[in-house]
Amino acid sequence: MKRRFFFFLCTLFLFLSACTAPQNDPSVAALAPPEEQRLVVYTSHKEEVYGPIVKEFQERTGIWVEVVTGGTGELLEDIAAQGEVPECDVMFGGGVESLSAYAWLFEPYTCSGTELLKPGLRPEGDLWTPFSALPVVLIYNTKLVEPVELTGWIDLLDGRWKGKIAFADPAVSGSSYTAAVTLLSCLPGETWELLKYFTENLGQPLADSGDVVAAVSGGSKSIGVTLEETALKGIAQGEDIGVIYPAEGTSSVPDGSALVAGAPHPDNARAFLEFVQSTDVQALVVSNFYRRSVRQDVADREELPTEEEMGVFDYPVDWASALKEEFLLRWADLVGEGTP
Amino acid sequence: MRGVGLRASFRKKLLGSFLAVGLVPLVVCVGLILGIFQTVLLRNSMESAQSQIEALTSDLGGLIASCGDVLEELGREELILRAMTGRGRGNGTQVYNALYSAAAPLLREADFALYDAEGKLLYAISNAVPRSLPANWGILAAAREEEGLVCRGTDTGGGCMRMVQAIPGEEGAAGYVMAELREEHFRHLFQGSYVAGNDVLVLDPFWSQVYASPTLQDSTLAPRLRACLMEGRSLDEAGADYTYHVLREEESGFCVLLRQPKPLADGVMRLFYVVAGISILLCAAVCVQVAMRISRQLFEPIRTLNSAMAAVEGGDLDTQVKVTGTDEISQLSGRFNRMTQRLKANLTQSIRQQQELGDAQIRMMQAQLNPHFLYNTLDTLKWLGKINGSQEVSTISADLADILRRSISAEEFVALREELAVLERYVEIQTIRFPGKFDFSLRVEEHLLDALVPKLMLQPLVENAIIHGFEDGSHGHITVEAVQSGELMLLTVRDDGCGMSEESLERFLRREGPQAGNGHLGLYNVDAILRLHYGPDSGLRFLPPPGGRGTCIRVALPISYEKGGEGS
Repeated sequence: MKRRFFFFLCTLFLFLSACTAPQNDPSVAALAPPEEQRLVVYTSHKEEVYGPIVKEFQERTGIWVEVVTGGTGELLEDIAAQGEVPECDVMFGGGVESLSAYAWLFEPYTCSGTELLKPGLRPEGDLWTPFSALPVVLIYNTKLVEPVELTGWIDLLDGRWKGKIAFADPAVSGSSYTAAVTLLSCLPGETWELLKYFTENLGQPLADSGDVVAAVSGGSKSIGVTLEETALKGIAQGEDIGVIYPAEGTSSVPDGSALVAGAPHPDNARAFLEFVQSTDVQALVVSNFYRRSVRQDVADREELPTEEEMGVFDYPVDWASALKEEFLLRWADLVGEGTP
Repeated sequence: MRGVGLRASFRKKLLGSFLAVGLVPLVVCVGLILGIFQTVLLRNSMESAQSQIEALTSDLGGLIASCGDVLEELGREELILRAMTGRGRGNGTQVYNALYSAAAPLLREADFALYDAEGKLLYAISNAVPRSLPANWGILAAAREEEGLVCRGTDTGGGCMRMVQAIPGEEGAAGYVMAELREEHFRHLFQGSYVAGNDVLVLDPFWSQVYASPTLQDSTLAPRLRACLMEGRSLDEAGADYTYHVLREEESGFCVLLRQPKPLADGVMRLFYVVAGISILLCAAVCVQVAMRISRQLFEPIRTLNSAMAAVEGGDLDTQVKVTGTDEISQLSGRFNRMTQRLKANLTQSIRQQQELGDAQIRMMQAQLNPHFLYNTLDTLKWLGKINGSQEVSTISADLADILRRSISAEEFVALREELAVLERYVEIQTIRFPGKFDFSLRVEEHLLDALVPKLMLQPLVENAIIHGFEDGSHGHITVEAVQSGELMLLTVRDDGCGMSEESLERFLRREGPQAGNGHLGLYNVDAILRLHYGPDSGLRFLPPPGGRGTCIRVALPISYEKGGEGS
């Protein structure tokens, strides 16, 4: 009886499993690329930036790229969490400060043509590869503000712009922290004193760096601090803003790409790094993305001031990294005091 | 307790068999039907999808090849080459003529355009193509690198597919000829090649979407499919209720993907399973019900029979089972009834035999009552007779004493010799009592003298002959014979007296017992003793007397000897 019942159960199970077995088409699996033709890229760039680059890279090399998007900090944390066996090959995007802060995640790689990089952009030890230079600029609402009213960083401490300044929260936005450090570096005076004056004048920061152009263009703020790329894109989209390069000079901190240490596809990752620094991509950076190339042999837009004209100074990356923790603590205190 | 155990095991067996017989075929059939149904449906839809996607892919491949031919033809055109290099500019109509005539067979299938070396649009059939293309980037750069046709997908403007061939110039490319397939071209190309309800996606070699059929609004489908492919999962996981079939167009590396609604939605399958499950449950319930019913029908008579047997076991032989019907169980009941009846009859008979034996023993013991006193008295009488000179008294007393002594002995069997000695004593007494009334003769085969016979068996027979045979006062003759006949010893007592009356004889033969006052008590006793010792057929037998007068009684006994055998 037992044996018969067992037999019956077996039969039933066979039928049911035959009925519900997933039909995996082997011909589909054959279309998937082999492991040596794959690359995993973590990027904090927007799709309009990484899209054409990844597409062209795929078509030129035949390597299938898997793109994972997210905020810079979030992606770096992910890679750190993956530990010894990361899934990621390349971190594409993110300010060099952020990349430096996670230096132990990366493996140095020296691209061919590194000697053609603009001065000051080549990192020590080639831990990362610069992608584009991003000067910090001031913007103003062309309807509310005369261009002559705004000259440089010193105006941000001027009481007449109190509460009228669009500035993203440095705790959230990496570029905003860069802008703050640039401000502190360009103005004479004790660092934390300057910060105190600035926060008093600022009032409440904006939650996201993407809001700065909209806030100024919309008129809720009169002037703002943002990246040149963002400002030029805004102008191209017809926003009512003008750009001022600060008279005191400014920083032009690059964003970069880095090879993840222990990457599953290191050769493909190196090919990708070579590609993003190639003249073709750098030309695209200039022509399509309103950014500045990191190469000397790729000319920036003619209408833009050169680095010398802007008075670009060497951004103190190490100092900025070391300062960040204390800065954010004080920032939180000062901004918290300023708000009821 | 035993009844319950029997019931439980019987029911369980019956139920198990019913379930096995009822359910196993049902489940197997349901499984088979569902499986076959599903398999056939899936295979049909798979085959249909396969043929559709093959048609779609060959359509695309054909179009790409035709475009390649047109582009090649355009590239060879002298006029166009000159237009590219700028030498033939201003000759627009002729160039357009050449362009249209080359593209004539494919005017509705694709757009054709000419770009110069910097990627600026020179001539185009449609205004929808881009005014310029980057020369160092994308498809133009690739075409310059490669001889022959280059196919690329783009996702700008809803996606399109471009085929470019570089026209070789003096240094690098003099210009480019391009064919572009946009949404309307794909729609026109695929029209009627797939079943309504299905959707088509065209993917570039890296699985970016180039075209999606108008009914497919899901713009995230292509990335999901790509993720499935990259992670090695089945494409079907990209969206429920659909299956995906993909085929690569080998020439261009582009993939055509067909999305087909599942032939059986999960809900429908679930309904099938529920229905199958319910019917199996229903069948199980019917099996249980029928098994219970049949077991009850079978079990009731068995239980009755069982308790009846228990009663018989306890000693109640009057137990009877009510018989209903003619089935096997009823036959069994009938046999049981007959068996108890027979058992009861046998028991009654054996009790009666026991009783009879007891009676005979009592009579024998009564006969032995106080024999020593009688014996001593008779001995005294004998001596008194001798002293007084009465010879006859002395003889009778001696004989009587001897008979009495022998009859007292506790042995039931004696040698024939002893029995004959008692008989002679008795005859001597009777001869003195009735002088001249009869004479007596004895004919015994010598070797039978030691054979064993029941004690005091012959004397009552001879007494019967003397008392009843000659009660009319006539003179007669009494003969006692002992002969061997095979294994048996035949003892015959014969007289030529008046014989037994018909009434007494019949009464005796019916074994009704002696009639009061009529005598023959001795015959009854001997008969009873013989039948107790040797079985019911071994009683006295009455033979027709020779000469037709008197009585002839025969006793047939098996011959047996005392310890010591015949010769002792």
